[in-house]
Amino acid sequence: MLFNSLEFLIFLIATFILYWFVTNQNLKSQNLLVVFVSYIFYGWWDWRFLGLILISTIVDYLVGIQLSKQEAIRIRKVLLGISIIVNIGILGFFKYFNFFIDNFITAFSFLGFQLKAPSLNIILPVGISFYTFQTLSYSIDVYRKKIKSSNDFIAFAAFVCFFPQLVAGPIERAANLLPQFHKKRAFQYNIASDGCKQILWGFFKKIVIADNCAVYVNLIFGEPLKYSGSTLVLGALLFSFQIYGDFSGYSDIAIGVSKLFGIKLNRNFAFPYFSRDIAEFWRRWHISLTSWFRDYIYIPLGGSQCKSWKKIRNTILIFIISGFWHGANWTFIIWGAINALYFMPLLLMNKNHTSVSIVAKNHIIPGIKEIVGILITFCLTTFSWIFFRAESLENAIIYITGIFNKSIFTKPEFISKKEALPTIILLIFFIIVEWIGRKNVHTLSKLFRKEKRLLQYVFYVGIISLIGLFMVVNGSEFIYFQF
Amino acid sequence: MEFVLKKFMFSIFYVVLLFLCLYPFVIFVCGNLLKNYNTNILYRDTPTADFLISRLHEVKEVRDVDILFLGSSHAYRGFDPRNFPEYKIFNLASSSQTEIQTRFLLDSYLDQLNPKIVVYEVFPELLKNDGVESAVRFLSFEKLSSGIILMALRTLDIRVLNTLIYKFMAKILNKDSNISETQIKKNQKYIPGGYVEREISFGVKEDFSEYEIDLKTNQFRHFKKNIKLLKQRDIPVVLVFAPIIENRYNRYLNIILFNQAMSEITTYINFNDIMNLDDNIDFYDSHHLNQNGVNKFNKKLLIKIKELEK
Repeated sequence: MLFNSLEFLIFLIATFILYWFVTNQNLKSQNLLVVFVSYIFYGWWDWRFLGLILISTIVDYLVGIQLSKQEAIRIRKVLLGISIIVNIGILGFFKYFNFFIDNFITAFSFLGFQLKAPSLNIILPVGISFYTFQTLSYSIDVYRKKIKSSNDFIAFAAFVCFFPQLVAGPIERAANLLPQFHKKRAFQYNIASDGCKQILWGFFKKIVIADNCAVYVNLIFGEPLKYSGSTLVLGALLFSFQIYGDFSGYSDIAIGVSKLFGIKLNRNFAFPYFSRDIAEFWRRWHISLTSWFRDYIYIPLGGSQCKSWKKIRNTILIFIISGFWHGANWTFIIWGAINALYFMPLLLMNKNHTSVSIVAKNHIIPGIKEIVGILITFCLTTFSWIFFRAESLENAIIYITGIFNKSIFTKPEFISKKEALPTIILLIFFIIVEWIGRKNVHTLSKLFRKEKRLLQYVFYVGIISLIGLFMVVNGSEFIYFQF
Repeated sequence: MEFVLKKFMFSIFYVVLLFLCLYPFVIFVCGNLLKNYNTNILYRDTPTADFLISRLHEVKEVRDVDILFLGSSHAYRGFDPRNFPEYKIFNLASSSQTEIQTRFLLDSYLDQLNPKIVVYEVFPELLKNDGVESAVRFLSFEKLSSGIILMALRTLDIRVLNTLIYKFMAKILNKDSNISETQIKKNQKYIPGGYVEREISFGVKEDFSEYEIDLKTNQFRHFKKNIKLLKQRDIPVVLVFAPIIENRYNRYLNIILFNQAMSEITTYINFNDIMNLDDNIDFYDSHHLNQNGVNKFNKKLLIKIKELEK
C-alpha cells in the first residue's frame, strides 16, 4: 500500500479509530492490532512475502529468548549465528543471488571458462533490506547484552512489522522502538499535531518535489545520448532533489504517522543538502542506516580508534557495503566507493568532525565559506548520484561523458518556460522553507510561533493547495521500496 | 485522553474546513494566473479539434433519431451522416471519449434522441484510458449540472476535480466564458449530425509494440453498465470495432479474447476482420480513416444495419 494513495488514507483513518477508540484499554490488543494492520499494509503488495517477515520475527524472537538464558559464549555465538544466517540468508537469496551468479559467470568467462548457470526469476520483496537489518540489530544487541530480550511475542512482532517504517525505514533499533510496544501509549495532542505537520511536508516533498523532478529525470536518464551536456547536468541536479524529496519525504510520513499512534521513531534526515562537507552530509543523510553500519560493522572493525591504514580500510569497506546494501548492481558499489573517496581527505586530515553544529546557526544566511562548502558538497553528491540513478555502469559512463563537452554551455533542451517555471518556483520555495526550518527536528515543527495559529493553518492549507495544483498524477513509487 | 483526542480531531476538522473554504479561490486564481503553465487545472477556454462545442450545441436541438452513434474520434470521424441518407443519425462522440463520458451523454440526451438503434464504437486501447482528457472537455464546454458533477466524480482524478472546482467558481463569479467555434477549422469541417470531415490525406507507416488488451479496467465496468442501460430501454445495440491499419491491429496479443467478450455482450462487428482496406489509401493515420475509407466503411456498415433490421 502506497502512502500516496486513497487506500492508505482510508486505512490510516480506520486504524487510528480502532487504535485509540477500540483497543486503547488493552496493550496486548493494541499491539495485536498493530501487527494485524501492518500485515495488511505489507500484504497489499504481495501477501506471499508475509511469510518472510514471519520467519524473521519467529527466529529472532526465539534467538533472543535463548540468548537471555544462555551464558556460555560458544552457545551465544551459535545463537547469534543462526539469526545472522537466517536474516542475511533471506536477504542474500532474494536480493543478491542473481547478481553473484551473473558475476561468477562473467568472471569465469574472462578466464576462458564458459559456465552455464540458470538465472532465477526472483521477485525482490519490498523493504526486505530494512526489516532484516532491524531484526538483526535486535539479536546483536541482545547478544551484546545492550538490551534485554522480549518475552512478549506480539510486542516483538509489532516492533518488526510496524507499518509506517516497515518498507523504507527509518531502520529502528530495538532499544528505541521495542520498549514503546511494552508500555501503554497515551495520545498526546502536541506529538500528534507535530506528526500531522511532518506528514504534510513529507507528502509535499514526495508528490510535488520528487515526482515533478522525476518527470524530467526519467526522460534524461532514459536516453542520455539524446541530450546536451547542460541538459544532463540539469538531469543530475533534478535527481538530487528527486531522491531527497522521495526518501526524506517517505521518512517524514513514516515518522509523522507513527506519532499519530504515540510511537516515536528516530530521525532519518537532518537537512543533508545544507552540509558543509561530505562527513557532515553522511551524518545527516539516511541517519538510521549510517548509524547501523557504524555500530554493527565500523566500530567492531576498530572504527577510527586504530591505525591510519585500518581507518582507511574500514571507511572504504563501510561505504562499499552501504552501496551494496542499496542494490545488487555495480552502480551502487561504485557510488559507495566514490563517497569513500570524497570522505578520505577529511578522515586523513582528521577534519571529519569539524562541521557539527547547524549551518549559519545564528544567522539568516550563511557566510561565504559556508556557501562554498555547501555548494561543493552538493556538487560532489550530485555527481555520485549519477551512478546511483544509472541503470548500469555503462549508462553512467555515457552520462558523464555526455556532460563534459561543448554542449554543456548551451541552453538545456525541451525546457520551455511553460514546463520549467512551476518546477523552478516550487524548488525555490522548497529550499527556502527547508532553510528556515533547518534548526528544527523537522522542517515544519517550529516554523510558526504558537500564537500565530491562523497564519499557521493558512500556511498548511497553502501546502495542501500546492499539492492539489502540482502533484504528479500516477507519480512514481518511492525509490527506496526497491531496496 | 478523550478530551485531547477531541481537541486533535477538532484541529484537523478546522484545517479541513479552512481548506474547503480557501481551495476553490486558490483554484480560481491559479487557473487564471497560471493558465499558460503546467498545473492540475485543465479548464479549456478555446475550441478543440473534435468540434465538441458544435456537437453539444447541435444535440440540444435534435429529437428522435434513427441511429445514434457513440464512441471516440473513430466515431465522429468515421460515421458520415451523408452516407446514411435514409436515416436520421447523430454522432454523440468526442476525442478520447471513455465510457464514463458516454454514460454522462446517455444520461443527458438519450431521452430526447430516442434512438431506434445505437451503434456503439469500441476501441480496445481506450479501456485503459483514465478519461481525463475527455472529462475536462465536457467540463469546459457543458453547463454545470448534477450529471457533469457525477461524471467528474466517477473519473476520480485531481485534474478533473480541480477543473470542476474552477468551473464552479467561474459560474459563481459569473466568469464562465461562452465559447463559440467556427464550423471550419484549418483542414477540418463540422458536418451537421456530429461528423467531422477532414481534407483527404494519407498516413505514414508506423511501428507498434505489442499490446495486451485489459478487460479488468474501470472503464470496462462502466462500458457494461452503459450497455445494460441501453438494453433496459429496449434499444438494440451494435458494437463496432472500426477499421485501423494492419500493423496497429496486429499488435493486440489477445484480440480473440476481446472479440469473444464483445460478442457475448451484444451484436458485435469487427470491421477489421471483414473489410480489406488499404493502409496507404484509406487512412490518414494509424487508427483514423480518411474520407475514402469512411465512405467504404459506411457502405459496409449500412449493409450490416439493413441486415440487422431484417
